[in-house]
Amino acid sequence: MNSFKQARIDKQADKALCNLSQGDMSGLSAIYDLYGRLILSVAYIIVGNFTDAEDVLQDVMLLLARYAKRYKAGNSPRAYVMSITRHTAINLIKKRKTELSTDEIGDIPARDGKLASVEVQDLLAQLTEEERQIVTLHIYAGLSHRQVAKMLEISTSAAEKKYQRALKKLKKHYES
Amino acid sequence: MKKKIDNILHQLDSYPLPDKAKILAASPIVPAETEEHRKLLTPVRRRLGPAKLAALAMAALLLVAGGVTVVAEEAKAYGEAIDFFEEYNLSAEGFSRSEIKKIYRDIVSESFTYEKTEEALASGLEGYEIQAKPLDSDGLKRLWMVGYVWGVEDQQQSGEAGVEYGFVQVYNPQTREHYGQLFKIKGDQQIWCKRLDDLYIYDARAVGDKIMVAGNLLEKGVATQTVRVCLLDSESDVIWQKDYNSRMHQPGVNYILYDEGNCTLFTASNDRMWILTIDMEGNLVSERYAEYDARGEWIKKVVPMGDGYLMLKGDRLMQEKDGKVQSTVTFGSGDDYYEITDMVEFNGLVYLSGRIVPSIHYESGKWSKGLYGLYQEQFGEKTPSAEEQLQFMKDHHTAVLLVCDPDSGEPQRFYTIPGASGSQLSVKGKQLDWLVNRYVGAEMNANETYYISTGYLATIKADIWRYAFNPYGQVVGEKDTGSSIEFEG
Repeated sequence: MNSFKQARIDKQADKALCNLSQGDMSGLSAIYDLYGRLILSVAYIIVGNFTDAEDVLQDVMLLLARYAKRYKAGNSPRAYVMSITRHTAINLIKKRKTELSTDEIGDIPARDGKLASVEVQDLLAQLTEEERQIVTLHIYAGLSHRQVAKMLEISTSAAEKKYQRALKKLKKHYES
Repeated sequence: MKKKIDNILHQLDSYPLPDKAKILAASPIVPAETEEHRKLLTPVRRRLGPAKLAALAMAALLLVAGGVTVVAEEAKAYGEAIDFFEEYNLSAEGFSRSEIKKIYRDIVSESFTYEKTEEALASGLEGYEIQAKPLDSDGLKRLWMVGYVWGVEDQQQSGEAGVEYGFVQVYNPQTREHYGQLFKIKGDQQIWCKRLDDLYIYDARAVGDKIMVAGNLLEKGVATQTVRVCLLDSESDVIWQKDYNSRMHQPGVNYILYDEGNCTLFTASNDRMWILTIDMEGNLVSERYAEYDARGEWIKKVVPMGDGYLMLKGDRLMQEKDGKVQSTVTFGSGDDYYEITDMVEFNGLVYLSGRIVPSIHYESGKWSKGLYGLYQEQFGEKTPSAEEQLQFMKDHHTAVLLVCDPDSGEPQRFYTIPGASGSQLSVKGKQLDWLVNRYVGAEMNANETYYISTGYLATIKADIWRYAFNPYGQVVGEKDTGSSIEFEG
């Protein structure tokens, strides 16, 4: 997405969130139209199937309605919504892990669900969980490295470094 | 590459969005779309301003005057420059057409000498904001080609006082060369920079006054099975360089451990870890493979433990034993969860630094307890003040120093400090130094709002304290370092 289009969407989302924070629920509908696709895709990257990603989307809309008051006008609505999305998706994974076993936190529990194209799956398979998030939040969601770093609670230089490494890993993969 | 990834990720867009009404039904009452909402979603169509009209008129005049070829060439060059600006997220705002073309030529020719180039790069070049400014042409070139210059996390503390090493990876799209670069830095000064051809550097470790570098050997830019190890002296001369066949697909050297005169490389593929020990001449001492699930974060620290190793992967501990790398018995105990940040071997024992947070329980379909649950319980939908968030963190974070059972690897509490987080560990002679971040203040974030479950709205300030322990485990020093850090809660 070009940066002008992104900036326009963000401006609209900022207004929608402000409306929502003042109790105007039409803002939520606007947010769905503006960011619904983004939320679903980023959730997919984290949870690994569209069935769960849809659950995340629903939870995110619920959380937005509930916590819109925390949003401050003029901030980055994209980062705000992506932060909620990431948090919600990770919570869903944690919940599933807890349901399975408390000792196997390193494993991703498999769950049936609709999957993305083979090409997307191949791309994701080359990256670690963290790299997937960094690459997706930066390239697909259009967040800056600083915003990604804040979200992942790492330094900006670490986010940049990890991003570059992920890209090089993918480059090697596609070249080979 | 960025474009290719973007295109692939946008294949996700083909999955249909679920029905809006169904999704929003779970949220509080949502009224039908209002006029305001429709307005909100209507794209703004801009009219051409006088300047653009004038430019169009001028272009038309030039065409009529017969300068068709010249104008077409100029337009093509400008178009290329604009495409380039867009591809690399650079802002063309504030630059004239001629300046945009000059900047474009300056960058692609890699000369980086045009006075406006830095200004253009500042608008979109990732990593620019963390550089010391202004950058000279070499600095700009490196930043452009590498994407970033060494980060603190890549710097390895050497035996020499104040000396650190850093490394970066370079790909030159013009010459299609791939190489690693190793830097020696003292304070803000770069002492030297060494180019290591066809090497994708994964890790480097200072070994006394020398430095060992390990990575993947590239052939025409493509990763091979070979791990290349180089030992350099303090003047950047390569003492030796040797290649080792990992017999693994795309091996990644996670960590180099220097221990008792040998270096051990921990190299992972997707499902295996190759543990290769070499002496300081590069001769093979031992090697073995272990089952290993490489998903998630990389191994960031390793210490020997018994016949195997204890590894820190993210904030979790893994133990290599009997040909398997697996999670240690516990990440916590009872209601506590340990988030580990560092570990070190001291006096034959392994010490871990981190913090204790309430563990997460999942009961009857609802999240309860855990930091998230406690936060919700305490604040609900209310936005807590900075002071309340600080108090919440003080109440629920405890810095912890753990000591591992030498046989089982099971961590046991050794020292705790409430209202703080444990940070770096280091050994200085016969003393163990433990840095602890003690929370002292909080400030609401003025510029950016983030939804985070545990105090994301405030920036927490912590003073860094140093605790010193002797080989008997007794505290022999407790001192405020005078430094502090700020972080999101």
